[in-house]
Parts: sequence; C-alpha cells; structure tokens
Amino acid sequence: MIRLPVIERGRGFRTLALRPVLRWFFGQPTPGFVKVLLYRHKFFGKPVGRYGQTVLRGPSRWSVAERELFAALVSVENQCGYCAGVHGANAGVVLGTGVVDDVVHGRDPGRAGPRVAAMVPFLRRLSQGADRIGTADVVALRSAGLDDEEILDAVHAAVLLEICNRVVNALGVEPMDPAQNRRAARFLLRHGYDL
Amino acid sequence: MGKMADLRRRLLKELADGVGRDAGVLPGGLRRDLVNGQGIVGDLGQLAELVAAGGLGVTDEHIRRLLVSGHSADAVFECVVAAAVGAGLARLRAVERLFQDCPP
Repeated sequence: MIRLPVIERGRGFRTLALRPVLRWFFGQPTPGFVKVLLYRHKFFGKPVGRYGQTVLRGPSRWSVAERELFAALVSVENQCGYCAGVHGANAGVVLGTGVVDDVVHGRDPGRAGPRVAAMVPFLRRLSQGADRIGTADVVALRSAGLDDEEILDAVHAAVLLEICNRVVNALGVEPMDPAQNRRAARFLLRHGYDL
Repeated sequence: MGKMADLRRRLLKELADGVGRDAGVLPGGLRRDLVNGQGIVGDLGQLAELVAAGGLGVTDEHIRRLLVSGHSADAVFECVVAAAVGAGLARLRAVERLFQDCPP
C-alpha cells in the first residue's frame, strides 16, 4: 500500500475514470507508480513523463534497451525494487534477462558491450553521490570512445531514475512480480512514458 | 551539445521549475530550496533529508506521524517530489561541472 492513502485511493474525476482503462491496458490493477503519476498529474506526473519519454525513448546513440538497462542499474543501486523490476524487464525484452542481471548486479558489466561496460561504474558512483565522480572519470569515459553527448544521454537516464526511485522508495510503492513487470514493460515499450 | 541534449536539459528544468513554482500547499520558496538541494527546518526537513538520501529511510510510521501532526498529504507529496528532483538535479549539475572543468 502506498503510504499516502489519497494516492492509493485516487482523487479527481480524471484519475478515477482512468483506473479501469489502465487496468484493461495493463491487464492488472494499476501499478503503484502509475497511481503516483496520476496524483497531482500536472505537478509531477506530466512533466516527469515528458522528461522520461525524451530521455528513455527519444533519439540517442544509446539504444532504448541500453537506456532501460541504465535505468535498471541506478534503481538497483538505490534499492528501488519497483523501478528495477520494470526497467529491467524493459531492457530484458531485447538484451535478455540474464544479461540485464549480470550487468546491474556487477557480475559481468561487459555482457551488454564495451560502451555500456564503460558507463556502468560511472553511473554507479554518480548514484552513490554527486561528489563521488571527478574529471578522471570523464577522461576515462572519453578514452573508452564515448563523447560528451553520449555520456550526458546516459546521465539523464540516471537522473530520471534518481528522481523516481526516491519518490517510489519514500512513498512505499511496492515492487511488482516478474509477470507484472513484463506486462508493464510491454505497455511501456509500446506507449512510452508520456502518459 | 546537440538539440536532444538541450531538449532533455530543458524538460528537466521545466520539471524542477514547476515543482518550485506551481500552485501547491508548501510555500514555493521552500519547494525551490529543496529543488536546489538546500535543507529546510522542521519535520518536513527531516523527511526531505531521508528522501535526498534515497528514500529508503522513510517508514510508514514516519509518514503517519507527519499526517497526524497536521501536514496534509499534498504537503508530504510536494516535499518528497521536491527533494527527489533536487537529488537528481544535483547529479546532472555535477556532471556538467566536470565537463566544464575538463573540456574535450
């Protein structure tokens, strides 16, 4: 249960009217974070959805799967089970769940390719704190063949999740089970984040 | 940087600006302080610190106490969102500073 009962219940005609539609779309009760996004939609849900759509689905030299992998990685780092499950499932559709698990849990970051392997430790440290990265890290990324725009694209994926993980963790949004994550991933890969 | 980088930066700024500016229960100045990574006093300040640290330290009891002590759900929500956006923005700013300190 979400810690703010008004979010769990839903408020306003638009939100309450959307719930059955979303249940039909997802094939399951409305996922917890979707309830959060619908609450005060103009204040948080809409702008974070537009940012998320551009960051995770907009043009980039990182594939959608790679950006979803970065999103899952940051979510694991922040111990956000809900986001790790959903974004891991998104990435897993293309990369396979074994590859995703190996990368996000640090067993074999190279399984998603050398560019991802170069980016992973940087995003992991950035997640631990803004003061955990330095110019030497940027030099290392450039030496690995990444330009600043690619680095920044990956950082935006991380920033999005730094925001969402905190909202999810603080409000107590519970993780979904693997089947629910796969259904949510199908929805998100088809319709995106700008809801 | 290219057009997409500018667009992403602008959309994040719109999110952050909206959280600090849009109609809300908490004063806009207080929300802007949180978005800018500055602490605020009182029990909402403690909540914001926990959120900035990742949010895992927030408990059911913590939120219940805030509601019982008179804070509305909207105030708690705004505090959580503002502190979360502040944590994200701080990371982007850190990377942008590194790019400035270390030109290609």
